[in-house]
Amino acid sequence: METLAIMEKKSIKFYIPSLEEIKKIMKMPIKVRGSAFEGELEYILKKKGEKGLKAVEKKTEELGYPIKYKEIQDTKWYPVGLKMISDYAYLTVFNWGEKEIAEIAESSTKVSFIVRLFMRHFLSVEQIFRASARLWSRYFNTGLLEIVDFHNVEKRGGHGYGILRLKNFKLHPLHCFYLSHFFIGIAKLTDPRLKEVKAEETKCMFRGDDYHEYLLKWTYK
Amino acid sequence: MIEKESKRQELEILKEDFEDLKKYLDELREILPVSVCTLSSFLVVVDMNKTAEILTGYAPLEIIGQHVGVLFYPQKDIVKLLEEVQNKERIREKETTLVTKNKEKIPVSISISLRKDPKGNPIGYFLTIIDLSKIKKYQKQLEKYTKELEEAKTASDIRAEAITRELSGLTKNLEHKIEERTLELEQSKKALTNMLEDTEEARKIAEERTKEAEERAKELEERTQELEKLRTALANILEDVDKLRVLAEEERDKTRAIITNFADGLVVLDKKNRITLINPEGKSLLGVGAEEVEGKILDTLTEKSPFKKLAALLKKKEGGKALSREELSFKEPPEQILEITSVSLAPREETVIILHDISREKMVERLKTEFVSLAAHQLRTPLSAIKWTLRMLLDGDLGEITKEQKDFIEKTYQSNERMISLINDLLNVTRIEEGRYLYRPQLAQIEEVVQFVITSYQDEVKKKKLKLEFKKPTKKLPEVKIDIEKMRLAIQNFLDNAIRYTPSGGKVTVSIRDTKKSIEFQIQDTGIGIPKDQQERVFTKFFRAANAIRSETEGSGLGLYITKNIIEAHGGKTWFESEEGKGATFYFTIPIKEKFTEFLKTF
Repeated sequence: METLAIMEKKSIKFYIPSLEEIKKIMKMPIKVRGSAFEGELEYILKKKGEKGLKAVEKKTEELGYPIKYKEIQDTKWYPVGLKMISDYAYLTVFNWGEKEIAEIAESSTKVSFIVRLFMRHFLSVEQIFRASARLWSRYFNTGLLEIVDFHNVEKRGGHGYGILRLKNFKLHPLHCFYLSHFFIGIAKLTDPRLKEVKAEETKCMFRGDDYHEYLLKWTYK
Repeated sequence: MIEKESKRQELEILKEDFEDLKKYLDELREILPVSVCTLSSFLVVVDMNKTAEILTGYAPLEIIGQHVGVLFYPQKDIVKLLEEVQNKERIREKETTLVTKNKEKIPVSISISLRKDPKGNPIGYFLTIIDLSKIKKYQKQLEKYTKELEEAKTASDIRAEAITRELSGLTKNLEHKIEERTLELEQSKKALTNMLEDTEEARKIAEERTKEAEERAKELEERTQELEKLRTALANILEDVDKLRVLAEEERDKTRAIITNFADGLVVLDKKNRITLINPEGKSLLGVGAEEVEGKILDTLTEKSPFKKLAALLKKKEGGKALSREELSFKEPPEQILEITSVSLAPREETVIILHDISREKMVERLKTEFVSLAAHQLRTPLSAIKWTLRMLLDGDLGEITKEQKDFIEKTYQSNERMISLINDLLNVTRIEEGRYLYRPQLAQIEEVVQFVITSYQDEVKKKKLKLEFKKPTKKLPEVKIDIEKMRLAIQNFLDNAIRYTPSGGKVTVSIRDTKKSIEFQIQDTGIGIPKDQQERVFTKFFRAANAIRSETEGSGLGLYITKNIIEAHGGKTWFESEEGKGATFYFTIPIKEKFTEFLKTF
C-alpha cells in the first residue's frame, strides 16, 4: 500500500521497492562498493543534517538491516540489497521522490572515491564513455556495461549523444532510474561546457528487454 | 591449488594495503591545513579537502562538478595560470582572489601542479590554496601601522620641529624678556640709585635748607634789626628829602627863572617829540606863542615854517647821538640864522633843543671875509708890482747893484713872496668860505701829480739836506678825476710842511697805494711832530703849533685848512698821526669810483 501510495503521489516512472522485494534482492549475490553510499550520505547531511542521517540510519535499523553510513568503507564490497535498503529508508523517512533520488545519483558521482580514482579517464566525453565498462566493474561485481554508439560535435552549440548498454544486471526499476542520473552526473563531471545532459532508459530488462540501454544526449554551451 | 591460494592471499594483502591507503588519504584529507582542490583536465572541481571546504564555504556537492573559475576573481586569471601550468607543470604561490560561496573575496596564494597518468598524459590538476586574508590583514595593519607610524613620525617630526621652533621662539622671547627685564631692572636699579642719590642729595639739600633757613632766620633777625635801623634812617632821609624837596623846588624856581630869562631859546621835547616846554626866547625866535605849541607833537606843527625845518633837522639827527649841533637859517625876513643844539637826556628820553641866534656872528664873519678878500685883492696888486720891480732890480734890469744891495733886495723879494703867498692863501680861504673855490676835475694819474710836486721841491730838499723818497706803487694806479691844480696845491702843502718842519739830515717819505676803493696818499717825515694837546686844531684856520712857532719857521697857518677843504671837496678825507719830536705822518684819500661819482655831482 505504501509503495502504491508513493507511486501515485509521485506519478513517477520508478517505484520504491517493497520490503519483500528488498529481502529478495538481499539474497542476490550481487555486491556493490561502499563508495556507492557516499552520494546519499552527503546529500542527507546537506539537506537534513546529522539528525536526518540518524533518522535514516534508524529506519534501516527498523528494517532489520542497520546501516552506519560513516562506517562504510568506500572500497569494501557490500550486498547490493543494502543499497536498496538505504534508498528505501531515506525515501520513506523524508518522503522524497524522483527529484531527490536523481540529485542523490548525480551527487554520488561527485563525492565517490571510486569516481575520483577513475578521474584520469575524464579527459573527454568520449573517453569516459569508452572507460565506462571499467568504471562499472569497480562499482559492481556483476553485469557488463558497454558503449554501443557515440557521436559528438565538440563545439559551441554542438550536440552529441551516446548509448550505453548494461547486460546481465537486473536489480530493480528504481535502480534503473538511479543509474540514468548517475550517468548524467558522470557526463556533467566530465566537461563543464556541456549545457544540458539528458538520459533515457530506452531498453529495460524490467520491460522485457534482454538488457538495459541508456541513451544520453547533450548540447554544448 | 596452492598457487591459487597464494594469489588470493596476495590479493587480500593488496586489498588491505589499498584500504589502509584509502584510510590514510581520508585522514590526510581531513587534517591537511592547506586547501587542496583536484581539478579535471576540463578545469572542473572534482575533489576538495576539508580545509578547502571550510575556506570556500562550499559543501562538496555544491562545488564538485563546477568550473574552477567560480572560485576565483577574476576568472580569467586562474584560467591563464592553469594554461601556464600546461608548460611549466607547476606554478607556485601566485596571489589571486578567492570568491567564497557567500561572495566574500579572500586574498589567497595558489600553487598548481599538473597531474599526469603513468604515460605522462595530463589528467588534471592539484590546486593548493593558502588563505592570505590574515596575512593581508596583518600586512594591511602593518602597512597602516607603518603609515601611521610614518605619519606619526612625520607629525612628530613636524611637531618636534614646531616645538623646537616654538621653543626657539620662546627662548628668544624669554631671552628678549630677560634682557628687557634685566634692562628694566638695571634702569630701576639706576633710577633707585639716582633716587637714593637724589634722596641723599635732597636730605643734604634739606639739611642745607634747614641750615640756610636757620641762617635766613638769623639773617632775617639781623635784617629786621637793620630794617629797624633803616626805618630810623629812612625817617631821617625823609626829613632830608623834605628839605631837599624844598631845595629842589627852590632850584626849580631858579631853573625856571634861568630858562625864562635864558638868552637862548629852549625847547624841551618828550620821547614822543611832544613839546613840553618852550621858553620866551624860544617862542620869540620861532615866532610862536606858548599856547600854540606846548603839548603838541613837533611833527604836527609842520605848517609853521620854523618847526617844519626844526622837525626835519631833528629827523636828520643820527640816532643815539647825545649831542648835535646844526645851523638853521630862515630866509624869510628878517633873515635869521640859528645854531640848533639838541641834547638827548637819557633817563626820560627827552630832548632839549637850544636855539642860539648866530645871525649877528654870521654877519660879522661874512663882513670879515669880505674885508679879507677885499684887502687881499687890494694888497696883491701892489705886492705884484713890488715883486716885479724887485725882480727887475735883482736881475739888473734897472742897473748894477752891489752885493749888499742885492742881499737886501733878495730878502725883500722873499718877504714879498711870502706876503703874496699869504695873500693867496687868504684869498683861497675866503673863496672856500664863500663857496667860490671852483674846481675843474679831469681824469689824471695822481702819481704824476705827486711826482710833479716832488720834482719842484728837489732844490729845496737838497738845500736842506733831507732825504726825500717817493715810494711808487708796483702796479699802475687807476686814474681818478681830480682838479689837478688844486690837488697839486694840497700835496704841495703837505710836502712843504714836511720839508719845513724836518731838520736837516731828516727824511721825508711819500707813498701812494691803491686800497681798491680809494687812492691813499701818505707823507711821513722825521720832523718836530705835533704836540698831543694841539693835534685836534691842526686843520683849523691860522693854526700853528707851539713847537712850530718856536722853530722860527714861517707859515700862515692856512695850508692844512685849505688842503683839508680841497681833499673833502674831492670826496676824500685827511688825517694824521704824530708824536712831538718824532715826526708826523699825514694821509689823505681820493675815492676811485662810486664816491667819485658823488663828488662829481657836487660840480
